[in-house]
Amino acid sequence: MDDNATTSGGTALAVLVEEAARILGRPPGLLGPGQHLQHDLGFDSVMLLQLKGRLETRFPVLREVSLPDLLLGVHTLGALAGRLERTTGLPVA
Amino acid sequence: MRPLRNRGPADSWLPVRREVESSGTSVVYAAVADWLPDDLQRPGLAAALGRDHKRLLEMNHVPNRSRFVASRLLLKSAAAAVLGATPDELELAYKPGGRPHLRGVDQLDVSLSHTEELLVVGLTRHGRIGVDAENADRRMLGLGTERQVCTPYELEAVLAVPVERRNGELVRLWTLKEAYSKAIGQGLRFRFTEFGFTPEDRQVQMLRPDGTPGAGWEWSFHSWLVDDSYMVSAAVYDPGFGGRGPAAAARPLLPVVPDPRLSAR
Ligand SMILES: CC(C)(COP(=O)(O)OP(=O)(O)OC[C@H]1O[C@@H](n2cnc3c(N)ncnc32)[C@H](O)[C@@H]1OP(=O)(O)O)[C@@H](O)C(=O)NCCC(=O)NCCS
Repeated sequence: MDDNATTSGGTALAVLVEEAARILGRPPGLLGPGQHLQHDLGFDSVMLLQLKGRLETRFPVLREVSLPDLLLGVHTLGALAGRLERTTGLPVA
Repeated sequence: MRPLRNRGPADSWLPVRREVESSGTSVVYAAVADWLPDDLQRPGLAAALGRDHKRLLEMNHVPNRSRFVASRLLLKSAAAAVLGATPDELELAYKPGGRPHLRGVDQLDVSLSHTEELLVVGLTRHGRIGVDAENADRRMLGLGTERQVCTPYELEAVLAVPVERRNGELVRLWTLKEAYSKAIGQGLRFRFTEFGFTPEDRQVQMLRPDGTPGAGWEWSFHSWLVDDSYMVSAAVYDPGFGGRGPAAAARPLLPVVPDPRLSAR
């Protein structure tokens, strides 16, 4: 029933940073909550889809959440972690 | 219609002007390098970008900065040529959802897309246009994207495509969907799985999730492979002469923006 319980380890921000780093092909240590997805990291729409796809494997509950519901109005990794926390119940940090 | 290649600020806009005059619509593409100024600090760039200059200053991702600047210069130059104006008379503004438009100009609708080394600008006189581009080899299949992008009918159709062309087919469908969602001003807000397109071997048509025809005759959709590497798609809404009326059809192409040199006097 509780999908979140199936996600092992880490806070929302840690999981997000790990998945974003994987898509960018960069070490997670270079990513932080203040970074702007588009302006600092160069995320485009396909990368956002990819990120949502990766996050769905970590938080299956996200399959029920649309891309705009997850991303709209969210610009930084930190803000997205906050949105993830509210959607999945995981603590941000 | 085929996208027209532009080779930089010195190239002629005549083919684009002709195409807009004859068919109402043109899709133009160019290389980022052909439109990127050597120096992003150069005097004059802030004026050329207008309000977009503030956005540029917030960008740290170097390839994005380059595409951002080059796409504005290309778009304004193309639109100015079609409108019989100069680029500095035009200002790019944005609707609340992010849809770009030329402030005060209702004779010409615009759309833009940029990816890797490619810039694409769509121009139409009659209705709405959306354009989108991706590298045709960009990997999308198997990354959890197809479930977010395709209708059930499209998923089946994609799986029926020979495996070596399957990813390319997904890229084609995605660019068509983005082109349409840009034409209607939705961008990523659109629920991409709520409408689809015909398989690759048919003339492009919009379909409902079950594969039955969707959009009306006012819409036309196109996909092209340009420079052997990029998939470029366009969605064009043209309500036709009935919607335009004789007054609109006769409307001159000149923009209605005030000339800043006049107000400076
Ligand atoms: C429009 C969008 C789907 C295209 O993204 P993309 O495929 O990565 O990039 P493209 O180069 O093909 O297209 C980007 C252009 O589309 C245009 N655009 C943005 N929003 C648009 C909208 N709602 N309607 C029409 N066009 C739009 C812009 O001109 C943009 O170029 P710019 O960023 O240089 O101004 C996407 O950028 C978007 O929806 N952005 C809105 C912001 C957003 O939702 N962000 C999510 C959180 S980061």
